[in-house]
Amino acid sequence: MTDITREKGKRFAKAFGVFVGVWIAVVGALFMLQAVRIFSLGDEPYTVATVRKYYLQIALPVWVMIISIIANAVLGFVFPQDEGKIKPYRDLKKNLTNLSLRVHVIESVGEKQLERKVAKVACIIVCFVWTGLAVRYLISSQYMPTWKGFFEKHTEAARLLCAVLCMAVAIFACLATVYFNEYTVKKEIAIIKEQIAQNAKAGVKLQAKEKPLSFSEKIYQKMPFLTSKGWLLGVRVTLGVAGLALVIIGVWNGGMADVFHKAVNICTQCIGLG
Amino acid sequence: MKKFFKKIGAWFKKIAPSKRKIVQLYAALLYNANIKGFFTGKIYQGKSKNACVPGLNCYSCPGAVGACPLGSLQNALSASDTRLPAYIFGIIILFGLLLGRTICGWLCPIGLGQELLYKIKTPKLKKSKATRVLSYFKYFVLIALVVIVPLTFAVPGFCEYICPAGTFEGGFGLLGNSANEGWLSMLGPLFTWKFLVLVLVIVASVFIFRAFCRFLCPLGALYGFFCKVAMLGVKLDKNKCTDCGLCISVCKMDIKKVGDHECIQCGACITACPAKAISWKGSKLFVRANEIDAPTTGDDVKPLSAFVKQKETPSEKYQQPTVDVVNTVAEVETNETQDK
Repeated sequence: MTDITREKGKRFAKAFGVFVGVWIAVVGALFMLQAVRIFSLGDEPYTVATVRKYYLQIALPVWVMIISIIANAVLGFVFPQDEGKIKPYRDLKKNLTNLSLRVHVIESVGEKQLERKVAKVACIIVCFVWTGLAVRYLISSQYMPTWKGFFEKHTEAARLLCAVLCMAVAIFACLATVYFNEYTVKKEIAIIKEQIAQNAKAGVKLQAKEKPLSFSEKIYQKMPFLTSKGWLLGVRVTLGVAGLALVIIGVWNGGMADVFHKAVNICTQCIGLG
Repeated sequence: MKKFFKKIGAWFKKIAPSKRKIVQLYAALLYNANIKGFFTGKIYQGKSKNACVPGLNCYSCPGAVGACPLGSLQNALSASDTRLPAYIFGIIILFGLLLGRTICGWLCPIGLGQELLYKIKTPKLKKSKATRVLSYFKYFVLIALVVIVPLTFAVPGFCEYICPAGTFEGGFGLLGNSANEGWLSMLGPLFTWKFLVLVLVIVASVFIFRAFCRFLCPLGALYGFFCKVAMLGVKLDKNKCTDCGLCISVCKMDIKKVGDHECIQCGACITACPAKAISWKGSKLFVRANEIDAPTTGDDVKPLSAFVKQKETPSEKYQQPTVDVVNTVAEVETNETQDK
């Protein structure tokens, strides 16, 4: 096989992989759609005949998916992709800490640090509020807004939806804060590098500052025994003894019998019967 | 013809399961050893169900021979007003202490399923800051659905609303048997919801490495608390570590450092570390460092420098991990050659 053929084959295999990915997502969506269609039939919708009827409707896309996965595997064998190079992980915060040791305090850098602190506090508040709301909706439906239509009859589904939406807001706030922090750290690094370059041009030599200790390093400095092997052994022995003691207490007070009783009877909640 | 068979041999060597995969498979088969249950449509009721298996495996699976630790925990918390849930707490502490998140990487059938799905060659979603933030969602699931809901409503919240293991192993395992055909009429909105969650998890696992483990699994969140004290797992020798960051880059989980609460102790970083600073805890007793998952002979061996991306532009002083890594790798290889 010539190199050109091999390259073309690899490109085709990669493109085919995209097709397989899209098709898997489509088939997944079809499975979910059919389940919703069966559910919307009314009372006791699930019967062997109904399930067979609805899922035979999507048999062709499923077979196409299976065949394309097999074909993709064969293409992967014939035209193996080059293993991607790994980009070493860069810790921006560590980079910033190292750079900031080489300059004195810069006002604009201080502003960026303040922005990050404010963003973190705002994120914590937003997360607490919306997570609290999510837990409130999970605990009781009486706090929910009035729904109409489908959710009016299915209060559990409405409760779950409210909780999920609230958590989505909290997660979005966390994501926004993380990306904002990365943005400000990059800006701060740029400012410090500019200052270092100016100092170098002007021939200014500053004495390097001492590296500030992280929170965990401060704890270890105040309590050095925490890093010792003896401490780790002590914690392990304590946990081991506590674990064994709890198991023995559990066997004595009937906890093990409870586990057995639950395990040997079908868990209707687990399998979706409620 | 010879070339073709050689290619087949090389391909087979490449796709042959690693030791970790074999251990995962054995664990999955061991947890579900009651093969008879799949044919009769009934769950196992033997004495072994007094004990919990370490990984996530629904006890309503017809093949399950042990109890599920997460389901047992939720049920114990539901009944905590009548009885202290000491037994299950003790079991989880012992599992966490002995194995920690090694259970996730080596002994969980759901993890195995997700890793097999991830092998389908499609575009993948790589880890990022967003996935790191999302990885904390499983702690919310742990607190809300595994602790608060059982204590408040006396129902196993996670099992009832989310657990894909229950839907797949228990639900399909039982309902797929013709002996349980009559139960189909009892299915309703809850099963539909759980089925949607299952399909979502399966599809996500094709594109995202261990999507369920990283974002939803409360058992992994629980075992993650034992990362510092667990007796089995990976450890980092800070004296040898050059801070190159390859271990974090190679790892598909959302770790910030080797062996933290997100690490599933799979050992991929051990192979990647050019300075051999990462090894197994207890490696002197049980296994040699860098042994697992690392090909040491044959055509599959590649120099570690082959895995490092070379920067085209000159790197600045504080952004030169690539050059440092290449130099470190070159030094290690030179030393090895001299030692030989």
